[in-house]
Amino acid sequence: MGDSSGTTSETTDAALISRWVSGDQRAATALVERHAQSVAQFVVSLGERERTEELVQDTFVRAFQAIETFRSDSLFRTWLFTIAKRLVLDHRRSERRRRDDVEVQEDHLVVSFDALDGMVGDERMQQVWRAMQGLSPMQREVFTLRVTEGLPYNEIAQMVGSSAGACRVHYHNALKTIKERVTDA
Amino acid sequence: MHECEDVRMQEALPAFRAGRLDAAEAEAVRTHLASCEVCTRELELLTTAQAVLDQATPVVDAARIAAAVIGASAKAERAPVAAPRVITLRTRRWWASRQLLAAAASILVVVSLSIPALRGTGHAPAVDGRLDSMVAAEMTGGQGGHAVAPSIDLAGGLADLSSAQLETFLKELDQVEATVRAEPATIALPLIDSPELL
Ligand SMILES: [Zn+2]
Repeated sequence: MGDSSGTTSETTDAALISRWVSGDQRAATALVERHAQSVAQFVVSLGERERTEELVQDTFVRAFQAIETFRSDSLFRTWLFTIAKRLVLDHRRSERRRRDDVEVQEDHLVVSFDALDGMVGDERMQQVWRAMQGLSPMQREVFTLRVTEGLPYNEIAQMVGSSAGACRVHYHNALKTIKERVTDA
Repeated sequence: MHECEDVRMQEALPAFRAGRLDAAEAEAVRTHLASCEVCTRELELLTTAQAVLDQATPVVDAARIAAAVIGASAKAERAPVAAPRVITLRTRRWWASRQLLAAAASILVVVSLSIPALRGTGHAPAVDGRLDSMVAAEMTGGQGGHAVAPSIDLAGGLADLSSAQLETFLKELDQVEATVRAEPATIALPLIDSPELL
């Protein structure tokens, strides 16, 4: 993934958001192009591979409709992640109500991650992928946010609704598990 | 495998990999990596994990999503909704530099002319409400990010203020000005915190 800070790129997220608010549609396109794939990756890490694009689209629609609630003290991308996660949880909640299946959340994760076997590159990558399947949902989310975005623990904590200290523990436990399951790591 | 003794460097690896460190920090990590096999392996594992996630993620159609966003927004605009309360630095600066200074100057003139004639010199309540409403007026800049001049209603109101109130008022105006000037120049974002969405 490319730059995600929104500050080192030619045009910052902040500038694009201002342009969008002023009615410049191209700014919206630029923001979607900049962040869509990262949001997709986050959605996949939450175990929603089947509905990735739909969820990414809903995330952006919600975000742009409520752009005035975006706070400048957070990154636009992590704000998008927060919206995406809310959508995933809402979806699971309604699924659960429909199916009356309290285990649907875990089921989803298992099914989605299993479906990736054989899709992922070389042996070592498959080992890492399988090791990631073995993580708890919380460990996997924290690990993904830390690896893909390089976020500090306090920002991850805000996103997952936990403490920075707990996130640090989740990350290191995840890393330890993966190291143990990957040969030569 | 041995442990890395430089926890700070090891903790910096994800941010280093994601390109979030500044040049000096990144250089420090590079120097550490040259002599730390533990961190070199860990970084390699993080890179593999990223590659795995890249492969596992379907490529989404950004153009289609952008079109959906723009379409949904156009639809929302047709619906009668209240204008969002947006505050931008541009708005604040504009207001600060023009309106506020002009207002403050005119108040000073009015004050100097009218203080002898003011009624009531006692300990009247503070005028925070008045300033708050001015700030609120500034915040309703509208979706276009265009500033709306604050509705400083001084007509008739000023004469009703005690001199203590006026002093408080002017002091607060000064503070607002100072705050605005202290804003980092790069921030030009909506600052309103609304609990509704999240
Ligand atoms: Zn090290």
